[in-house]
Amino acid sequence: MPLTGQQITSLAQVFTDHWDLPKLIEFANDLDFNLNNEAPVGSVKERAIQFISKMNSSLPPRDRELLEELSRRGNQALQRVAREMLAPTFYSPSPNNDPHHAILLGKAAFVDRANLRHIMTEFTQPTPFTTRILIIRGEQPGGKSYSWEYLRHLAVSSVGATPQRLRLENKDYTPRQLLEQVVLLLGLDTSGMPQMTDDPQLARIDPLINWFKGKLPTLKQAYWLVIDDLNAESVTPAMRETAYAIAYSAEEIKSNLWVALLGYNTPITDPELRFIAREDAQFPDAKLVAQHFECIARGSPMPLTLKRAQEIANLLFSKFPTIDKGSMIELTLLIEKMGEMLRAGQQP
Amino acid sequence: MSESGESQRTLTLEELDRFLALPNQAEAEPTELPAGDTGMLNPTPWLDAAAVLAAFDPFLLQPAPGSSDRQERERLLDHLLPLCEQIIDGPQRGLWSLSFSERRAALKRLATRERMQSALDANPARPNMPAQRMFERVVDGEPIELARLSRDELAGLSTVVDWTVGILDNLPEKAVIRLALAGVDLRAPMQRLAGQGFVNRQQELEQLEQYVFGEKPQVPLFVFGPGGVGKSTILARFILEHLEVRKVPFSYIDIDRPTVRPDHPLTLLLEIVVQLHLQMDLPTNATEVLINETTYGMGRVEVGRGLEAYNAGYGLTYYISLFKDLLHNAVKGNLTVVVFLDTFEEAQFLGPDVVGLLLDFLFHLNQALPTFRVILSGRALPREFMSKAFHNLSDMASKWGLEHELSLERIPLPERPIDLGVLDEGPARELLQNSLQVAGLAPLAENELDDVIGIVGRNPMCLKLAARLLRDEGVEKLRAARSDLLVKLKAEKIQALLYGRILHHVHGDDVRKVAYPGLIVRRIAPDVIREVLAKPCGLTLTVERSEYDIFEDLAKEAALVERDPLDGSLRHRADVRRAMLEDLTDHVKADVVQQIDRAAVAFYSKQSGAIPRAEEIYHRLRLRQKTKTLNNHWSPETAERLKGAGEELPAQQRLWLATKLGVTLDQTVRQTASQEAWEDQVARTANRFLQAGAADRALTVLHERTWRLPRSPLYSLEAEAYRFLGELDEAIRVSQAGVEALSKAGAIDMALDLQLKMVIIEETRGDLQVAEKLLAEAKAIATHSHNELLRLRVQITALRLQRQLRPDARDERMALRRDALADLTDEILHRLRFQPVLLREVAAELSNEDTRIVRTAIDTLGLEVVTDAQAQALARALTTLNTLHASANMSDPVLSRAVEQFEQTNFDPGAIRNWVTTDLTTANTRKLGQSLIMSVPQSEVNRDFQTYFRAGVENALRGQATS
Repeated sequence: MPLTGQQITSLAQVFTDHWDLPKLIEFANDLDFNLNNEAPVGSVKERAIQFISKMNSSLPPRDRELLEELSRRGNQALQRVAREMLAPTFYSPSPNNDPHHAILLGKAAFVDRANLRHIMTEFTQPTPFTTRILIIRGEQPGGKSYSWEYLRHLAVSSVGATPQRLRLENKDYTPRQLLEQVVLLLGLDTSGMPQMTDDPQLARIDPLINWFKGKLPTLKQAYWLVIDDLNAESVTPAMRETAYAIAYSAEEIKSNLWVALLGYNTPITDPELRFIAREDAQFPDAKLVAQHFECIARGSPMPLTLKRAQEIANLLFSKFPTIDKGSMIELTLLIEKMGEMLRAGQQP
Repeated sequence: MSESGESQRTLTLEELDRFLALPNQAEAEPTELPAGDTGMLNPTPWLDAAAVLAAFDPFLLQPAPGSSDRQERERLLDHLLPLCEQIIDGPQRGLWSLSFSERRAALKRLATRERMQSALDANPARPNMPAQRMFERVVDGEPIELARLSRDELAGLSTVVDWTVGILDNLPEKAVIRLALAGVDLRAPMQRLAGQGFVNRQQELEQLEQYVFGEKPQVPLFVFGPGGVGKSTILARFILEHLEVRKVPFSYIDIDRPTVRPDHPLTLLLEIVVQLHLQMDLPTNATEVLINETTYGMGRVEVGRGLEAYNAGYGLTYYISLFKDLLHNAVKGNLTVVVFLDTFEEAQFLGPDVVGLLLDFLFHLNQALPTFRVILSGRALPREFMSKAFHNLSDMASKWGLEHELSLERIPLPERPIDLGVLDEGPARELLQNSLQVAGLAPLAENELDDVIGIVGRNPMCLKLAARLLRDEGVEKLRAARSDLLVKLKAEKIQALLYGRILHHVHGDDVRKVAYPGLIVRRIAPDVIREVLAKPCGLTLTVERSEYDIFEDLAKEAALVERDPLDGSLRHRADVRRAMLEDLTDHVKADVVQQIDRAAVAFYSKQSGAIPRAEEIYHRLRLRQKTKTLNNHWSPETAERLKGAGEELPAQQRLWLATKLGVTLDQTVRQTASQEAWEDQVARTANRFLQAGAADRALTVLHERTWRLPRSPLYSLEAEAYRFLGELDEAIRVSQAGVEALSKAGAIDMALDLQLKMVIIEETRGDLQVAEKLLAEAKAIATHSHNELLRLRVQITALRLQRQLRPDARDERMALRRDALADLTDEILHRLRFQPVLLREVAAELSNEDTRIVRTAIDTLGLEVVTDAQAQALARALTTLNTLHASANMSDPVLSRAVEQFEQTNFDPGAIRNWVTTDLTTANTRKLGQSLIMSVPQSEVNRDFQTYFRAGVENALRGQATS
């Protein structure tokens, strides 16, 4: 969660194919969503898109609620789509289909990251000593957002936790606003949240955090909260410190909350936190991508030699003499496309 | 083409491109979700329109060029939304944004500023977002002056540069934007502080100027004064007006921040490095390495095994020297660098031992480079600072009181601590006159101003309160308060007196009573007035005049009380309230005070939550209730809210609270403590000293009393202190006494720990037979212990001794190893990370058998090269690992380069150490641990790492650090 643009349009299409407008209105009504008020005009599909989009961007998000309801009340086709979206498909080359070793998350390629896979076994099989904080570092774009896909996948397929992602890029939150978003994502009540005394809010966040710590024991279900984009330039030091303090609270209180900070590059200086889980995200090199291709093809009707896989990977990388943000994104799309083809048994 | 064994033709890039352009067969399968019909839609104008918008509503988006066709909307959504991301939080929630790659592709297509402007024109209603505004300015083509941009505009510009780099020209460099952002972030707290009611402090600013830019001072400069006097403000002004204009790099650290720990001074060093990194353009890799070394250094500390932990590290001076080298190597050593440390009282709160160790660090730092300047700021001038900086004056200071002007005046400028409690005459007059104006009074004549200043002094807070009093009483009444006593009082006491006088002018009898003696309670709320204060304070609550009316009237007295943001209650100014409480019993009957405290306990004990619990504990402490009662009601969540309460309490209660808060108190208070409280305090203090290698100071504290409780934690600390000082016989004597006493008292684990200490003492002095004999006794004690880690320590010590005593008895060793490995579960391995000294010892004995141990040890301890033997053993282990990687076609370039260097220098320890301290980042270290897991086969690597860890244990036990 949240739903992607592709998922929203696909789901709207399935609504259109299987339900008429009155049925959609009734379903929305049962979710306290008045379709006639919120999306009064347009085709069934347009109105379905508005319905899903608004559920997706509610605070707290209601996309999960929509899918769960659909998986109970929809016809067979709707139920299938809803369930698939609730528990995304993955491909793991390990013999027992271990979700930790997944290399395809839906269509997204999840290459290498052996260290992250290793440390995530601690999150999914926790002991009383297990840390509640995962920090994924990385200055350049290099797979941090794919980390979210992986964490979301593990939360759902391994532990049944609710994954929530808070993106911070270009958000310009004050510490209080940031915490408020977190509290809403966790389905907690924001009333009683203290007002801040310093303006602009810089670092005196103790009252906020103490209040938050008091709320944590009331979390009834497990949440994996992923605070993303912490390395983005738009993220202020105050936002970063607030995110850090939120994670620290999870470690201190040990409730139902697990926190991952993506792009948090500030050194962890607190000795109490020296054993939290940490990973350095890097864009994979051609060798790792070759191994990835070989692994995918292994599970297809047409296996691929590592030599050939290396040749393909080298050619893909040769298209981008310098690896910057733009080229990484384009290269990733090509790697994903190649992965899909190989999985379907197609080879160049 | 398949994996059929036949040789495959080499693929070309053109062939690969053609292949990737083919449709995916799987997508064509009917089981896939049905896609919408996009056949007739030309999406380009829509994508172009979306590409120039930071966010948009897909139902309102207009194409560029062209106009929207109602019929097209559905097909557009089908095509466009999968290429976009919905914004699900923040002010633009619900809108959509084109994905980065699609945006870049569209902008490439648009290519020019003119065409982008046309695309913008298609959607005149655009989102008010910094990235949108900056995109439009970039498209506009006018030069952008970074210095004039706000923080969010700079961040928005950075995003826009990502969108348009390589497409548009004349864009600012990302690195320059990043630098500008770092500058804004650093200045933000300064600008906020500098704007808060600053009164002219010219003399102090001049002293700061002289201190920073004059001759190298020998000691840090301390700026002190009561709360609200403007310490942070003057520092902020100095930074903005004196440092910024000259581009002098600085680091400003507020100890109150969550990432800084005054009891761990290295956290300050890390904060300084992070802040200076961008300002001084320090090389990123070298900075990362320093951070790596320092964080791992902190992680090697193990409470209870002080000497081994200390020997394995380098101490503060080593890390400061690394920092110095970083600046030197970056040719930044000649730049003046100013380090500000604000809110020093937070360190003082933790105890004199913390202050002492922190000052050691800061003095070292000040001396590290001729260009370094360290400026500290806090509410009170610490005694520890005075005796360290001006030891010949410290006697006088203690005689006259630390902040007495007479003693300070003997210190030459510019090192003389700056007392911000007192304004100069001119600024004092100015402030008083301004405050009178705020109070709605006519201006006073010069002589009248001087008269008032003569009475209340030149403390800014006193002057503000005096203005308030003048409004209520007039100048004559104030004159009547003049006395020699008043002149001698500390500023806060004068404030308290003035405050008290103002309280008497609070409108309404009932409000006045709630304020005084109601200030016995720290928190005032309507229900507190009703349930706690009404009866003892003689209030009559009616429908017409209820507790709510009184509360609201008191809330209007903004000079006296402030609202607590947590629960909306009212609180008195803490420092002044404290001073007033001291005199309370002179004016209020003791039984009234007790009634209020009892009512408060009764009231809060019925409620749940951190606030009621903290207030309940506070009043129980005031009532001097028994330790057992207090313990029964204690809850850790209350700690934060009781932080400042200690100073209001009698010594015994202060000690109890200090223990709960984890703080230490000075010797005077300790002397009055019960044996249990004293031991608790001393254990904490001695531990801190031992971790910093200050064994003599630890011993001084431990010797304050010679008697010990039967289960005293001090035996172990005293023995450890003697070990540090090399007085091993004394260490054995104390340990023996401890084992005897602790065993008798049934404290098995403590006795076992001490017994093992004796084993190590004999081992380090080479008497292995005696060590083994003592270990046999330890084994006997261990059979009664349930502590798995202590039992593991016995097994590992046995292995180490056996290896040295009977190197040829392999079968015996194998059996010992088997036993130890059997106990080494995942959970134990996890817990070992919190005992780094034991972990190193385990790795030294068992690495060969289990790769998990090597990885955990490297993850936890980092790479240690204190001795030459360690450095060389490490290099050999890395060489073996690199060979294995190469044979498995898994070479790591960082490792390969390192090994090449080692071999070229014939495993010179200096070169190896140089690699660790200049090339090895945290990420590299973690990657190394990870690659160990992947290496197959591992036995050879494991054996080499075992040798390396053994060199580490050797050093930890015997402290043979290289020069």
